[in-house]
Amino acid sequence: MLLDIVIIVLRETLEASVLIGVLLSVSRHTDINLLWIFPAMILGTAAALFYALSLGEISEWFDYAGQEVINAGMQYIIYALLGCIVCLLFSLDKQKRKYLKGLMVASVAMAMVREGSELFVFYTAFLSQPGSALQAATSGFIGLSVGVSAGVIGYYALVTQKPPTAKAFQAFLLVLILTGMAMQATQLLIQVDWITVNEPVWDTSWLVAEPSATGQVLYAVFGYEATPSLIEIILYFISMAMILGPVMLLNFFTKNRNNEVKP
Amino acid sequence: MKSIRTYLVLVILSVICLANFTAAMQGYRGSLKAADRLVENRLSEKAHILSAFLDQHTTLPRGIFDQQTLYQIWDQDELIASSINAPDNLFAPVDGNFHLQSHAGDRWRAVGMTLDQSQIQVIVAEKYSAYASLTEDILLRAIIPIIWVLPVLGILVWLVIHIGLQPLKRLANSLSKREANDLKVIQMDAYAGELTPIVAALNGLFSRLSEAFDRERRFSSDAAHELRTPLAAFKVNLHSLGKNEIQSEDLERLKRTSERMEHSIEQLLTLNRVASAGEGAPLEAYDLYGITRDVIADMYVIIENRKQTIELAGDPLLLRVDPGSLAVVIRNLIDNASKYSPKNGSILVSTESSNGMAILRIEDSGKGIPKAEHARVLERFYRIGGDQNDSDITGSGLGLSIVSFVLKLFGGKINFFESKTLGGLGVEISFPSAGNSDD
Repeated sequence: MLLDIVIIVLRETLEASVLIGVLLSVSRHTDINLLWIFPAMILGTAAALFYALSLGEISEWFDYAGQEVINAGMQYIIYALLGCIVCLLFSLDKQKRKYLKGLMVASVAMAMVREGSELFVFYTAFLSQPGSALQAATSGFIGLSVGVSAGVIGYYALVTQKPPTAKAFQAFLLVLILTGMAMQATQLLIQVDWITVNEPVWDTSWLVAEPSATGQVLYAVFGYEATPSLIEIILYFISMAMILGPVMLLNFFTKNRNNEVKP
Repeated sequence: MKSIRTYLVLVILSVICLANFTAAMQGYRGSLKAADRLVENRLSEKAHILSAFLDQHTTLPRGIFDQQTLYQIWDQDELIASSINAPDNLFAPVDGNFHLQSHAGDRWRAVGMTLDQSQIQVIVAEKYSAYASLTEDILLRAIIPIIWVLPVLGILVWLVIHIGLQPLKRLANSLSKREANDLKVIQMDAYAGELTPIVAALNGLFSRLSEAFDRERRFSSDAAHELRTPLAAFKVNLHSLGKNEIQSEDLERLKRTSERMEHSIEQLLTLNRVASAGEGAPLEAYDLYGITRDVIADMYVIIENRKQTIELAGDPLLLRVDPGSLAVVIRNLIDNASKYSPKNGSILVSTESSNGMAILRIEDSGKGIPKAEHARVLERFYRIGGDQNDSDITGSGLGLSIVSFVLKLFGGKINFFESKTLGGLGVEISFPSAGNSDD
């Protein structure tokens, strides 16, 4: 039971903290003041509370598929915001990097709404059981500490790298996270039958079972699915290609321009 | 990385947290497995107890086990006995293995076995949640102190790192307190081994800087000395030309130029002397009033030749400066006051103590300096009006820069103001006072 609660809290906090860790390292390497994280977190927490309190009404939308559809919508928005951040990292026009801060505030706030509202709902339900306060506090503290620790280690692992290496890792992690977001959104739409799926193409449950701790953590960060259908695989690679395509083009043009500048 | 301390505290705490979590989870899984084995042993024992009863009695006693246990006894396909909480159908496969079964809203650990030399099958099960929650409770009590001690651990880690970084802070403090001209080597023994490469590099840098300064000083001193001799010869020749009754404006201009060159060379040599004096910290206290009086006495003839008057007012004041350098400052300032005051002009020199500072004011009855030029006149080789300076006064543009240099060397300050008493320029220099000479 304790482990289950820890995994639930960890699943929600880990995704946000890894994302925050990577974005803070991007800020450090692009000389953006790290203080943007505070308004993002305050905004995200306030919006998460508002969203959690309105979930009763929201879940009745779209023929009682409201919560899943809105959550999927938020995941797709985060996907788009992170995609813009990755493209700006490789942008030729350094002036455009001034938009990075706004994009980072929006993506962190949105991720916190998504994860925070789920935690709020879970804890509200859990604390209604008698004698659960100590378990709730301990598991919450463990989950939060582990999630934040992973974010801190990720942040320092990135900021201690040389800028070109750090940029490559930041882009790699952001692409994995954002495609994970798209994958989670797809799974939510499958749950409410907005997307119809066929037989699974493969089954990796023998390697990492979805309900296991590793499976849950991988789902949280990268949208892991042990038995994906063909449509899920196609959507996953399309969402990845939509970001990698522009990034590779930008990288190609940057190299060409640098070669032209060289005597 | 902006702060080593923050980096170390956060990373160490994060690693401890992740390691603790992994260890606690491993412990949790291990405890659950141990509890499983315990229950499995107990289930086997209970199955054997049932078989023993079946061997000796025809009926089983009521309430043989508690409510957390259920059992079924089957004779081929017929349920011949069961506990009250057991279902009517076969509860678990009879294969001697342990299974997790769902029944009555709970999970049960169950085992089914066939008794020796008969067709009787016994199934015994125990509620999973009963022992799982017991295991969890034991584990929770074991890991809670580890988890909640993390904030305390954070403070301890911060303290240890704070203490560990003290040598670095000490080195930074010692460097920041150094005077600009203090290039003494740092004692390596005073610092931790990890700082030795930094200290060695700094010592190397100080040594190279010191050599460079020495070279620069030697160069200006040698150059000034080397120029003195040909200049003296040049002046003698000019004097001879004057004796030969060759008088022209050009000759007068040449004489003025040679005087200016001579003045510049003297000032360069003064600058060298002052810089050398600043190297050894002058710790003895000297009287500002007394040094000023001596300088005035030395210069009195020059001032009198210009038909000017000079007055000294004030009280004795002690300062810790090199007396030779202070005399150079006062001489330069009085010389300027005299040069830029008209014939029959007046100079007023006064000393005063205010807010722990010893102040010397020199006021003249000259034209003064426009406010906009106040900062620039302290620059090297700067003269008001530049090369086009049309005054007949000999100058090199080094006098006030020497004054400024000495003041910097001994922690003094300079201010220009308009003299209300004499209407010309007023110069105020101040040094931290070393007390009153009467003390």
